[in-house]
Amino acid sequence: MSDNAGQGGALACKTLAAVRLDGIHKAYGTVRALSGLDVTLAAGEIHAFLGSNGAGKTTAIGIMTGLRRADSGSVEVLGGNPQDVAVRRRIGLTPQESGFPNNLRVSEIIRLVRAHYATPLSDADLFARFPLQAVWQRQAGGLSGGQKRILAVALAFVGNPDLVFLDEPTTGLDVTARQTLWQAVLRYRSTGGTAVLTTHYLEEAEALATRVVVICEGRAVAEGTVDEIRAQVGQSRITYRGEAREGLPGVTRVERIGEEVAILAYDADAVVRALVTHGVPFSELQVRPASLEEAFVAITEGNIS
Amino acid sequence: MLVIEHFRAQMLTLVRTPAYSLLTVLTPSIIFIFVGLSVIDSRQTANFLLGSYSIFAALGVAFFQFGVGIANERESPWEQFAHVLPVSPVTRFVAAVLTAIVFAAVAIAILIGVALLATDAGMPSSAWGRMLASVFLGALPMSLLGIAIGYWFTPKAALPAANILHLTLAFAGGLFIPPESMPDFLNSISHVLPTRHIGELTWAAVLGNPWPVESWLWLAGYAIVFGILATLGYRRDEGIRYR
Repeated sequence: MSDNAGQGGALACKTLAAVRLDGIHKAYGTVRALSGLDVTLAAGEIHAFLGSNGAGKTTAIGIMTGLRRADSGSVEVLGGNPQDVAVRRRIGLTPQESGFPNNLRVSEIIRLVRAHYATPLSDADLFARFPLQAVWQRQAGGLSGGQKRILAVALAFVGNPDLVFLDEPTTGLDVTARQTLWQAVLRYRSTGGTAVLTTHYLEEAEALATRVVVICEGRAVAEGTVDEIRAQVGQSRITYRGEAREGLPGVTRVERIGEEVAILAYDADAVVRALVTHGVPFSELQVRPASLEEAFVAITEGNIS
Repeated sequence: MLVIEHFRAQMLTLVRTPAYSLLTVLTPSIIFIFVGLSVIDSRQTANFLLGSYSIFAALGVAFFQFGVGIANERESPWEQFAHVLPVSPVTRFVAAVLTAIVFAAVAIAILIGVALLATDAGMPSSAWGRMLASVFLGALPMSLLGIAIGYWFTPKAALPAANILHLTLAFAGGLFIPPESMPDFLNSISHVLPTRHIGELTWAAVLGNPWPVESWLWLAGYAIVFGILATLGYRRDEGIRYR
């Protein structure tokens, strides 16, 4: 009985997972990009892969989209192999930045990509989501950086896919273009679509995603809802000249750099109060929000209280 | 149809690159006008050289569109994107072959037009058919060589490599100087070159002689060798880029 229930549960779970990565290892020569990445991404959610440069986000996307092969581990996307044409018909993704044939028009590029999908978006649907009408007859070589990026993201959605991959969709974009792309993702999210996007901005993950996976040094170091992740990475960095001190409240990491002590903690006020109460001599006290990198390091080292 | 859409996009890209499209389509006719016309003294020599220059035209497409084109594409992010679109590599390859056939056909059509206007060239329709068959079938192994160049050379090296191969193979194969006018040593080298055998087949066609079977065998052998080189190059490249 319980065995049956277990199997039923596993089966239901299987149909709900859009992406399953199991023990993925990937190295380029001697550089290890992924070292044992395990993630299961549920359908109907917008997943943000959050991590600093070189964390392995882009390699992970490459493996999920079938562009790269893992050295070891198993990959399952929409219940199949991402290198199968049948699976790829249900996936949308963006080309690497600015990579368009310069002398094709926007309309011609859209037409070509759209031809690969069974139920693509109409022109009207596309224009409702992306401001491409004004550049419709322009050759790709004449587009601005922002327009190219909007076209690139539009290509991920034009096939009306079940699963969309966006690799750093807004890096280097101005506020207007970023808002446009955010709106498009939010609209897709409201229709129940599944997406995986990479970013190194917590702010972007907060705006778009429902779930966050923090990637650090080729592994998933934290997973959860946006709120859960923010609670983990939303730390402060306190620095001062003076002595390091054990046993301060809510501290995730203490580091000595020369005469300076750097402390990462969830509640900076409590730490400062404790320093004063304990009579620790300090000078040049500074408090600022910790960067994602600093928070990631604290998480990876397993120092979370 | 997906093949047609890829064919359409490739044609648009190339047509809008005049440095490629005009050069490919016009160069054989221009050399024919400046070099070929001066040695033509009869209908027979006119037909003979028309055949030779048609091979030269098809060779250009094989080396430049496939060779240089593939070498450039290998470094383009757009090609990486196309690689993950839901389409089989066969479809994209067929589209590329169709594009190449169109360019070669236009280049040869212009050449034939020039020859008909400026010379006494002319032959029975069966000879036209056999000439075009020799040229296009002969272009197959050369296209495989072009593909091999595209996968084994970087974009910077592929262009000079294609140029050198295009000119030396055309010259040593007897497309500019008929084999009987070649020095002996060159003529003996010429006998093992693929261009010489495409020439032998084409010349037999325009002169109304039967096809020399051994030349078909030579070309089949070259097709196998170049096919292996192209496949190894493709695998190696795929291993580097999509590993």
